[in-house]
Amino acid sequence: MAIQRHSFVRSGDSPPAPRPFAQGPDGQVDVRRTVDPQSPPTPWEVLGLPLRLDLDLPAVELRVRGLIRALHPDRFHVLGAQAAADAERHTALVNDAWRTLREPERRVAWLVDHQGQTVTALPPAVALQLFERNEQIDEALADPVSHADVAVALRAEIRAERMQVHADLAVACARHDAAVQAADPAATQGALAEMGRLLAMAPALDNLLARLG
Amino acid sequence: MAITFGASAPARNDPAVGIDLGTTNSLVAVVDADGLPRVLHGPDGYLVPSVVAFDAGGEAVAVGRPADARVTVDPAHTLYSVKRLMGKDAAEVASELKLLPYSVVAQPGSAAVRVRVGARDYTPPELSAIVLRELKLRAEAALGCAVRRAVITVPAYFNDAQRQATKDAGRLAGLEVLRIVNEPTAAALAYGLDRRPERRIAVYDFGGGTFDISILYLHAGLTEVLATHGDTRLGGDDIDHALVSVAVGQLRAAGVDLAEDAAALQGVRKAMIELKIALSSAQFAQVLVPLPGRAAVQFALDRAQFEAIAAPIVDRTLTSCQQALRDAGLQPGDLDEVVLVGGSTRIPLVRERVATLFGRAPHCELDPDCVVALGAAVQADILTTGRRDQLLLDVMPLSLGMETMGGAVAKILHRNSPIPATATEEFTTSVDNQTGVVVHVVQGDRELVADCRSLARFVIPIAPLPAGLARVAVTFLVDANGILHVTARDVRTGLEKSIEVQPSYGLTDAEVEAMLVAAFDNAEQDVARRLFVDARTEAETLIAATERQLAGPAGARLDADEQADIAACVASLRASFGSGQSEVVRAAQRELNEATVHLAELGFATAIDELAHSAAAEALLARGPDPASAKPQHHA
Repeated sequence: MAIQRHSFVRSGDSPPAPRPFAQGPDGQVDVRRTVDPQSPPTPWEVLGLPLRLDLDLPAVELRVRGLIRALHPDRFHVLGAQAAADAERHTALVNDAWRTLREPERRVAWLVDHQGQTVTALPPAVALQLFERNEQIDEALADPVSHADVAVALRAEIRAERMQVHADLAVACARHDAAVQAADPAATQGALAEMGRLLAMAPALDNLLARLG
Repeated sequence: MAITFGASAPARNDPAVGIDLGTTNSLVAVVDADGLPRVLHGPDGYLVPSVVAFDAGGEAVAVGRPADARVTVDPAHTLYSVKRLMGKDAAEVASELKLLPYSVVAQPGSAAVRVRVGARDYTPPELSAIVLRELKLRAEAALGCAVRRAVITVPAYFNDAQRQATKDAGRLAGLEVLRIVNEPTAAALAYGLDRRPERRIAVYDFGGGTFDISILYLHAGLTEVLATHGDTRLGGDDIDHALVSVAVGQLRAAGVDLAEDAAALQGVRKAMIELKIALSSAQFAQVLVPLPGRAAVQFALDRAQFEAIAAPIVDRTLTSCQQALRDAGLQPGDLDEVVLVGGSTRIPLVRERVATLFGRAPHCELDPDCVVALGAAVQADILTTGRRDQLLLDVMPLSLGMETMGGAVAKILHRNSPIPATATEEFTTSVDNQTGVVVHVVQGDRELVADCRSLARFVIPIAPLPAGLARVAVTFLVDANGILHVTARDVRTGLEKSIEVQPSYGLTDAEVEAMLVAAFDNAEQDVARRLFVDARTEAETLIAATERQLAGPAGARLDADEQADIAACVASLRASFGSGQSEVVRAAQRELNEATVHLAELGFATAIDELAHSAAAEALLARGPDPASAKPQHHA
């Protein structure tokens, strides 16, 4: 495993096998660990996964199910309120980690927010283009008949750019994973910066597409 | 060692029960030593009407069936459908009360809504606690041991406040509430017992006061909820109200205005419920609607007319079903089974519409009235024995968020997220040198705060900084009961504030404690008082029946001594009421029973004389008098 800052799950790479409860809570999962609020575990750590953006989602989902089975508070109720409350918090963290990782854009956004730099402003050229396009859309909406062709062309153009953002994100993700693998912090930060820039573009393009209907 | 034959198996130590606390009826179930759940019966069956009757002083005097019998006699002091008031604020309660004959009062110093009954005010959780206490007593009688722990079910679409109110009710009834479980999920748990391989099912739960639809994925011991939707203000009650309005309208057209007569309206309601039930099996039904001070009126309806009245209400459930399917990402054809729960699913129109929507005939092998309680008992068993390799993975029904600038909602946890769930979001300030941030937590799926339900509002102090530099991390944790806990932390100072969300119009912990203390003080008195009231009610019925017969032809055939003897017994029975003790009343009642044996025989003979020429009389005479009917009273 590449990064294991907080060993939330002490198992190796395979999910803990569910055991009948009569044998006691699953020995592979430490439910008494308290999560440090100042540095909570990453979604990857919670699920015991190496830090990679390219995930085998069906395999991760199986792992999530295994963890939920092992950690669910209902299994710890008999051990008392404290054990159940701990299990509750850990199950909640597993659910939260899965929610973050199951959607690619949310997964990338989490990593950018927590290990890179969140981008809130668009580059001036992009912002200017955005402004121009919004004006074009205003005109097209004001007079739909004579501007029908403009709207069609604009929509096709923006859709293509949106798809390009997806493709560029995939490339940046691959660069990120390779940089982490090679333990190259500069390349990792470079990939994160690129992903931040691309993520900032996505909502602007989505908004234009929504306006075009 | 001696063996005692015929002794029942020893009661399980400290059993945990499952309780379905319904709008119309409630019931309790338990898992036996063999691992199978069963419904616990009381002397009058397993369904306990969720009705509480009070005396003029506002003391609860009857619960369940005996209370239900008083709805038409004393509507002002008999409360039903209390579940509709649970966890609601004053405005919501007021709108519910348009349909229910109670009055609501505010109490200074408390945010909780109270219902006035006679001289006393009760919060909805206190009223539900009375029903829960009755179920607890029944379970204890059936199991022969104390019952302290329970899983209680709620509609899946219940919000945080309604769940809290239900938990409070459990505590007030002296129960440790192990878990609040969603009704459709509990139903799926009960149906999941046969351990068929993986399948996707829809549970359509149409009860007396609420409607829920849940889409579940059952596989390898996991009962996983994929999506849930519903309406906590849509139920069989609404069909009753629609029928009542039709009946009242027709009566008004005939010159009888019942609008102001609560007792008469209750009579109409009972008649309409009877009609509704009859039309579930018959194509045509008629009922006698009792009217005070005049002859009863016949009211008839055929199936088609009934369906025209009920259809708009049933159709509202279908919209929810479609939404739940969309949320689960499924087509109707992806489902392997559809399960029906709740009394209202007995209506053929409901079954038809559900079958059409999902393209398959729904399941109803398990009694729709029992299935939720059975599932709750299974969940109680999972939680307390650790012997089941079964887990329930539920979701939250409504999104949770925080108010941000301009009254917008920042959703922090989306509806249908699996619970327990947690999420953390960071917020910043919009004004320089702010010393605190208001955390306003709302629940709902609309975009504006004004359209969502406000759950809590608290302030977290922060170090003063220029606008946009402060960082406040807000963490939501929804526990396995679906109840929210919020923590807010100033990221720079580490200052933290944590609260269990308590709805502003709910009960505070202190209020619940005070109510608990009062309940324990009164517990012993309550039992004795209740036994006395039961005995008195029974005795009053006996006196009324006796006096009716004395005044009739049978009474005229008694000799003077017998008449005087009976009158004396009646007088001493009446006098026994002053004792306040059930044993004294019971003894006097036994004497009156003995004194009226001859009168009863005469009454029976007189009745037969009157029927002399009818076929029924011939049949009766041929059979001879039934010894059981030779008494004027027949009490179970």
